Amino acid sequence: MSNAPEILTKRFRLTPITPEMVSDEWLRWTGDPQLMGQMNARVAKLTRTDLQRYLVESQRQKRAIVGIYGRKDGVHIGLYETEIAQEHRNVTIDILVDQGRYDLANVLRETDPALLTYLAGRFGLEKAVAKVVETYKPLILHFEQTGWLKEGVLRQENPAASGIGRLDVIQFGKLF
Amino acid sequence: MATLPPPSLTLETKNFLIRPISGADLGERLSGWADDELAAEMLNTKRRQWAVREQTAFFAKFENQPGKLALAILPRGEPHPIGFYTLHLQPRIGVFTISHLIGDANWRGKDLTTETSDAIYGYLFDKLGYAKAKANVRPQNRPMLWLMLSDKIWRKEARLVRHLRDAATGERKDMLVLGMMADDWRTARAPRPAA
Repeated sequence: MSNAPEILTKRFRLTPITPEMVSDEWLRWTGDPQLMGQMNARVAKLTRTDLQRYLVESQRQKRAIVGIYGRKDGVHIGLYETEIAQEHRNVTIDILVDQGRYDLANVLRETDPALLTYLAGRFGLEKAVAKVVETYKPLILHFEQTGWLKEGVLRQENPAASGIGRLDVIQFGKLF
Repeated sequence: MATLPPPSLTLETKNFLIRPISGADLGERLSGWADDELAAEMLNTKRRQWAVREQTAFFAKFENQPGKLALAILPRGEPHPIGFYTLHLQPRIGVFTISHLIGDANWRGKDLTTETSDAIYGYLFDKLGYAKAKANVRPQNRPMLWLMLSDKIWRKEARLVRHLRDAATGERKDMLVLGMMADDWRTARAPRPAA
C-alpha cells in the first residue's frame, strides 16, 4: 500500500504523481493546442519518459505535482503544481484541468479548498499565491469568483509561446 | 532566450566596482548594516547588529545557486564593500529581480544607486537579453519608492497583501512589486534629438 498522502473530496482524490503514475491523459494534454495555448505552453508530443523526467526534476526543485483523479473511476482529470516558500509560509500553485472533458470551475471549487486546507495544516502555510497568464481566462474567472484577491498585473511577464511578443500575468493571493 | 551571467560577473562604472561578494568581505565591518528599520526588513531580520554567522547564512543563499547572485559594491580603489545587490535571474522568461542595500550609512544619499544599477541593467538587458526587471519593495520604504517611481520607467504592478512573514515576530507584511521593461529603460537613456 502506498504511503503517499491522499486528500479526498466528495468527487475527487488528490495525490502526488509519482513517475509510475504518468497517465495517458497527461500525455494527451501536452499535445492539445487549445489547452496548451490557453496556458501559454508550447504544444509538444511528449513521451512518458519526458514526463517522468519532469517529475524527477520537479521533485529535485522541491516542487510537488499533485494529481486530481475521479474518485469513482480513477480517471486523471488534472493537476496542481505546488511550490512552498517556507521562509514566508507561502505556497505558489499552478493548475491544469482537462477542460475538453471537465468544467474547470466545477472541479476546482471542490478541490482548491481541500488542497489549501491540507497544505495549511501540514506545512503551517499562511498564504497561497497563483500567477495566471492573461490567456488562461477560465482560471482567472475561477479565482475572481472564489474569493482570491487580485493583487496586481505583472506587465509583459512571460514571453508568448507563439514566439511573438510577451503576455501579462495576473497575480492572485489568498490568505488562509 | 536570455542567458545567465558567469558567477564571476564583474562590472565597472566611473566610481564603483561591482563584483561577487565573498567570504572575505564579511565580518564586523558589516555588522551595523542591519541597524535601521528598512535595512533590517530587507534582510528579513529585526533591527540589530548583523552577526557574522547571520551574514554568512544570508549570503550562503546565493552561493552556487544558478540564477542567484550577490554582488558587492566597492568604491574604486577601496578594499571593502559599502553595499550590495542581489539578483534572481529567470532566463527562461527573460526576467530578473533586483534588490539593493547601501549598508554603509556614510554612502547613503549620494546617488550611487543610479550609477551602479545602470551598469547592471545595461549588462543584463543589452548583453544577456533580459526583457524585464522587477523589484520587491516594502510600502513603507518611501525613499526607495520615490527614487524608483519618479522617472516613470519603473511602474507599480502589484501589491502583495501580507505576503512576507517577519522571521522574528511572525507578523505578515505587504510587499509592492515594481516592474521596468528593457525597452522603457533604453528609451529613457537614449540621447534626445536636438530641437
